Amino acid sequence: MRPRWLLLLFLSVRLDALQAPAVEAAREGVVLTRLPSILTDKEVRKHLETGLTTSFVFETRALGTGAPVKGGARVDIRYELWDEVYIVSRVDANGRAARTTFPSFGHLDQWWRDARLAVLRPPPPANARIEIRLRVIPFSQTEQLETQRWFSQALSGEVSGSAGAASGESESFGQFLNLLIATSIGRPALLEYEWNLTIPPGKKR
Amino acid sequence: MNLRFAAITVCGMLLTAAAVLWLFDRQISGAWFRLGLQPEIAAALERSLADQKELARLAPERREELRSRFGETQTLLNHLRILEHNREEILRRWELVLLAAVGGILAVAGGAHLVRQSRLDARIERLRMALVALSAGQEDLEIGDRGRDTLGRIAAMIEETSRAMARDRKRLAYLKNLSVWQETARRHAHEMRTPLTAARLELARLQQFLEEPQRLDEARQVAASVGEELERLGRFTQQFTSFARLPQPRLEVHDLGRVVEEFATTFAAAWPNLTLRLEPAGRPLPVALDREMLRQTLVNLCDNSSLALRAFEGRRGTVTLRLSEAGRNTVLDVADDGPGIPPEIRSRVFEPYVTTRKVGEGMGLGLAICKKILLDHGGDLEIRESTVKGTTFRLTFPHPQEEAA
Repeated sequence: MRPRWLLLLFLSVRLDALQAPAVEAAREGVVLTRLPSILTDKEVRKHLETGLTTSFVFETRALGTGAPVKGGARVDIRYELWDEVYIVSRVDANGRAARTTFPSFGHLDQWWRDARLAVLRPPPPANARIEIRLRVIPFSQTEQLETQRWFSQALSGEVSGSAGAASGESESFGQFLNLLIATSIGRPALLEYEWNLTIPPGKKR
Repeated sequence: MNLRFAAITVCGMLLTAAAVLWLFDRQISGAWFRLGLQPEIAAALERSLADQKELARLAPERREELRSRFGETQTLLNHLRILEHNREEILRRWELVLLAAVGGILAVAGGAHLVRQSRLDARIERLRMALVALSAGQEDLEIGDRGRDTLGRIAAMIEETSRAMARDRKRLAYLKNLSVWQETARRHAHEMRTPLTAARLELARLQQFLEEPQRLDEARQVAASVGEELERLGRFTQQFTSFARLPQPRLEVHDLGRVVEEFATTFAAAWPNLTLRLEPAGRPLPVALDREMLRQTLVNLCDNSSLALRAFEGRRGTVTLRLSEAGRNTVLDVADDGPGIPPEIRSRVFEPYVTTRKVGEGMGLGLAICKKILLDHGGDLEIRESTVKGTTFRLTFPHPQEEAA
């Protein structure tokens, strides 16, 4: 088992290494620009090419405005191995969803650097502090559930969805145990970053 | 339950469970899991993906089929990667499940062991109670343990033993009773036959003398002799009457020391070969007693001592009457310096018709009557000591208040 303190040490090192995104107040809310160049990170790049859906989850919390205001946005990137294209789905704080396809990693990285991501709405007053947390999730919930189901079937000895030889109570108990083990498959973050930024005065665009 | 044994058993079970858990986790389940996540498998699947794409390029007509296979392979590869990503968590969960399973098995086994042990304890307790009842003389025990194990067999043996003991006891009681009656009949026959034979012979002589008037004086002597024999027969039947109709004592509180002193004074010369010696307690000893019956008892004991001394080289002896208190009882020890009671009858001397004297010299009822008198006083008569240097009988009287209660 990996000791927790090693993970914390690793995270603190990564925190220093990654440039914080820029924050600006706009009509659509608090917007992140110049997103950190995380895609070029060796580990993230390698993971992106596995074909699993990598989620970049931004969670924000505005402080100093009475009750904390929470928001967030998510960018899912999946590399389509057969067609060799990157499929990007994004959902921002306003609920706007978009899906884009990029033919190469260069295009994707360029899009990432130019992206504007609304993470908080409505915008807090100027000079309010905002806490931003970025979690890189290595696979989607759908992929997680499919793997749980597949793993549970594999433990039960089922082939192509057919039940094994066991039956009755022993089968139910076995299924319960398999389910118990299969549900240990979670979506722990691959990487985590946190920034505390101050929102500059808004400029109307 | 033996706590040390239970602790050793529990430790043994825990160690075994830990060893099995470790072996199963490391060598079986963990090994299979590691085998499934071998990097070579993922690498092979990746090569397979690349090969399928290459094949699709070379054989465009099979593109859809290959793409489908590509998708399946990729899904499998994704599963393996997700498992690899959760390797530690899955193994931890598996260890927890194993631990819970082993804990559950241990708990069930421990519970079953406790239940079994408590049942065993209950069965052993029933056996113990049965043995207590058996030792107390209870007959025809029914333990009700029909188990086929060792305890069940022991229970069956105890029941069989109790039945055998009951049979033997009835047989022994019958034989003992028969023996007593045989001895009684023998003594009665002798006691009655002797005077009757003598009387018959004397009557024959009397008839002869009556036919000769000049021998009338001799006839009168013979008639007197017949009268003596009949008198002897009368005394014999009187002994029976006194044994059969022994009255209840009329208890009155007297100073036992004074009563015994009077007896020693009155009967000082009653037995020519005996000297009566009194050892008083030095203080009054109030006792509820029947003076006449106590006197009868002391006379009987002194009679026995006198006869025993006479039979033992005809020498003289001393009977000591020693008064004392023992606990809450008042005690009178009657000790002689005679030859003692033979060991073979010592335990039976208070039974009727048990005597060392020859047939015709005594019925063996004296000590039985004495014992009955003391028991009727709420006390007891026991042999305190009997050796070749003498015998001591102990007469025990309860405290008057206790007797009243």
